[in-house]
Amino acid sequence: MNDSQPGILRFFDKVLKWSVKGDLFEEISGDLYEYYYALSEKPKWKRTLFIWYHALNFLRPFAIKKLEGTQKLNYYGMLKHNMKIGWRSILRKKSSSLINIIGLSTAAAVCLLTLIFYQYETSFDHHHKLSDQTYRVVQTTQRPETELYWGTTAYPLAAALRDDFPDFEQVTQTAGPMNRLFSYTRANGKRVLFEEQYVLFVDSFYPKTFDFEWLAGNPNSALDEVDAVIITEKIAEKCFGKGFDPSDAIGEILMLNNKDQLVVKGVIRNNKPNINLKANMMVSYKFFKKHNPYPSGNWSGNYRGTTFVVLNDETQKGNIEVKINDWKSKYLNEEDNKIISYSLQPLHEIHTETKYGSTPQGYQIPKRTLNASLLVAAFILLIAIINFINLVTANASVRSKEVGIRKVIGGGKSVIVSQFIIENTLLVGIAFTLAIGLSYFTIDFINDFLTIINLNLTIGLADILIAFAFCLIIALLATVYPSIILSSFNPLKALSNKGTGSVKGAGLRKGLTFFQFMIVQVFVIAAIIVGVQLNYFNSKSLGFNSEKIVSVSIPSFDGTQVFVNRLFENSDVQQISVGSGPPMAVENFSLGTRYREPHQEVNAGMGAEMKIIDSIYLDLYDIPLIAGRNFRENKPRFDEFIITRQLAASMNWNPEDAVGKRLTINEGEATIVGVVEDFNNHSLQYDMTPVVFMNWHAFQWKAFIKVSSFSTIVDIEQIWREQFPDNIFSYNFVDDSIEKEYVIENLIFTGFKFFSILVIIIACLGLFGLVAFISVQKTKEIGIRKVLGATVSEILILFNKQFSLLILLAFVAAVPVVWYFMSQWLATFNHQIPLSPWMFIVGGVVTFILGSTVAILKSYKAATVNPVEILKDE
Amino acid sequence: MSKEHLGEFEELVLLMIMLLKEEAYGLAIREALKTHANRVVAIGAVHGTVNRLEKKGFIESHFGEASDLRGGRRKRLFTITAEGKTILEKSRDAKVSLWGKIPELSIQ
Repeated sequence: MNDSQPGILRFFDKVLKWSVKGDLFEEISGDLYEYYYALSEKPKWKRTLFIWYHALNFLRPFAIKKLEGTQKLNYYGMLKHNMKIGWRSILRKKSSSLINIIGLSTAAAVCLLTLIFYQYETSFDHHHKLSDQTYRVVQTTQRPETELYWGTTAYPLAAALRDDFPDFEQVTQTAGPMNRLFSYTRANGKRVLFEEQYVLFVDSFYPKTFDFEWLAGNPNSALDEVDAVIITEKIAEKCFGKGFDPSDAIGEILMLNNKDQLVVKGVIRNNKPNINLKANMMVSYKFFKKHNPYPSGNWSGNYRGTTFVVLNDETQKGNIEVKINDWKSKYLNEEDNKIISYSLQPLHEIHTETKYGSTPQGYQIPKRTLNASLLVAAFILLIAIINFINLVTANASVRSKEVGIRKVIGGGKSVIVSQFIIENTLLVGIAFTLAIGLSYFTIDFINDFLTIINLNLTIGLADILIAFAFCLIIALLATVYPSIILSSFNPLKALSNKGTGSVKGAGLRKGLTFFQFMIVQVFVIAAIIVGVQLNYFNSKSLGFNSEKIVSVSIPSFDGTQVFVNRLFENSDVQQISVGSGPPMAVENFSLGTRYREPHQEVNAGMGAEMKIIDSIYLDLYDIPLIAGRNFRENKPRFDEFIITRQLAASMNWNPEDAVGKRLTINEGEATIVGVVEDFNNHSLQYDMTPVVFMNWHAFQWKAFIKVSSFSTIVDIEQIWREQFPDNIFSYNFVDDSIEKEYVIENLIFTGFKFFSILVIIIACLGLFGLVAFISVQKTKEIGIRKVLGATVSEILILFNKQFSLLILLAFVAAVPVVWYFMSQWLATFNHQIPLSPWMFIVGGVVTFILGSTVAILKSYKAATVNPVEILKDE
Repeated sequence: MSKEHLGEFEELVLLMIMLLKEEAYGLAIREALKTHANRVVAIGAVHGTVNRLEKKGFIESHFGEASDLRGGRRKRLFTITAEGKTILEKSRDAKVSLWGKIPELSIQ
């Protein structure tokens, strides 16, 4: 070839030489050269383009090399042959192929789905352009007794940072998301009333920090006005009806809480499901500031404000944190300055790093849980792969004659290895294709099942590609060993009749089965422990009684008394109390304060939860008084406290002594009139904390109604609607909301239950296949033993002794593993069950019974065969 | 009716081979199609067609001389066979006779 020829021609020479038929190459290449020179007057790019076009146009059926027939592609013929033989052998040993396919495809589907889940949970807020540089400002408060971590910060923080630091590309402040009531009046007079849970107050820097898809409005100026609101498509549809034009929505007026006008300044696409700070409506932060002057200027408060900063240079993060902590004294009072410090948390970590908590109304999945789920999925896959290896090696001896003949005819070792690899890859391929289908159909169920955390998984092309890559790797891993075993048969031995008796790889099979059943028992025992712990959560006495109590919100204090009086007209209503919340904090909501004796200094104060109640509350929830008395009447301003035993103890008071003492909290000073028994004011993952009850008109947001029949809820709604006509009724049972606090634990339990069932099934399938194989192997042995007088039960024992021993050994190995991991898991809770031997024994026994049942069922058939049938062909 | 059918593009290519006489090879046929018949096609399309025509027995081929312009590759020159001529004539006659049967008025 001429070196002076242009590169592109030489390149296509190579491509064409490889791809077109030999006898056509010369003229094609010649024409391309000539054509190229004929184009010499055209600009270079045009020539190149033309050559590309024509060269690629040669790749037509007439010119392309056939795969078969030419010398170099001789392998193709072999490949075809191997595929055919492989397919036939899959069809012949139906039961073991089926076991392999079922096991592998289920395990692979679980893996694929877990992978998708993992990917989803780690993708939160990754789609923003600046997400790599964006940080959340988090707060650490140093208390005498403990350190507190906050994902939220004081409201004025962002503005101050923006003014004083040039290092930030953006600083943005949000408040919420909060619950608000909206109404919109359509042109035809129809009024749309709706309550929105995710109303986020954001400043004008928010759209510059986070990316949204704007359907209408200008992201740069939309939030400049005090009364600006940006709505998502979903809200727009609610207000303006289906098929609205986003640009028409601009300038429309929405009423907030029936009194303030907001002007629509933008319409954005619905939130992606994987964002931390959900917002279906974004209202100008200026509006929030105007209506909440006190909190929005209070440096000592920590409410629902989140501050994000965008760094110009991420490497400066450490320096900037130091600078902020030097600078904070400019704004914080002396006391706060001592105990509060700020740090920057990368946006990408918010969803998986639990230290600082989730964003308001968001949820978190700890990185550890995510990693554990990957590990679990990998183990399930491992069990299926072990089945695969076991069955393939076990089947090897059956095929020794085939291998012998191939070798005698002249098949080399590598040819035979490649035959088995192809055969097994075919099997794995079928399994994985099924797995993709399976995942595709189950993914919606999973999304439905996990709606509590708003899961929205989809299968993408990338996932399918990953699955195929997985498939190839596993096929190779799982088949290399069996293939080598198979190919190493000595043809002479294999072909002589005596050679088939010895089963190669029996030791390995035992080892793998042992390992398999160890994993199974780890899963089963872990599931039992999680279940017991959860049961404990659900059944443990919390120190109060929440049965049959309905909680409804009270939109305005003025209507409360009338509402309560009217409710009493219903005979099913037994008691009514109003207060700030149920005894146990739900949905992460509680009111915090600090308490001390009046003569003590401010910084001696300790943290307590503050609960606003009335004189009926303690009765309604059955919280027993151990000293003093209950509140006597409802007062507009508190002048009495009731405290818990724990609070009294923290002041070194006996409950009896505490009555009559004066106590100061952030909100003011009053006399203690009663002490109640401790109760769980936080869900059981956490410890109880001191509580101070007070009788006050402020914060009386909820009415708790004890009913004798649940159907009363209809009547309650009726009365509520009449009393508060411009609001939206919502209720829940206190019992239910308490149970919701264990959502994540419930999820883990369901996961374990599901996974351990799956693991048992897959492992038992494998055992079934193995026993089936061995019983075929040992047919003659059984026949001879029976002729010599062995009973069926003796033969069954002979069969199952080995497996029973394996399962038993596996149990012994599993115990320390579960012990270690589960005691770690339990240690994360403050109220935990002790690990006791029965949990382990039950797990072991269940596995043992299932395993042996499978083995006995399968071997029984072999043991009861008439020996004459087996021995007659000799 | 002979088994081998002559497509429209095949007919054009055959005519071009006749027209080019001794100089009928892939690229030249493509150029001729461009100038005489106003048809612009990929070189590969021409190659595909001549291969098909050869298989059908309407043309024969032999290698010509090599040249630097062609990167040292020889040309594959095509000549029409007697069979090829016959089918071209048949095709022309069929069309002429059809045209003759159409009254003048209907093609205004």
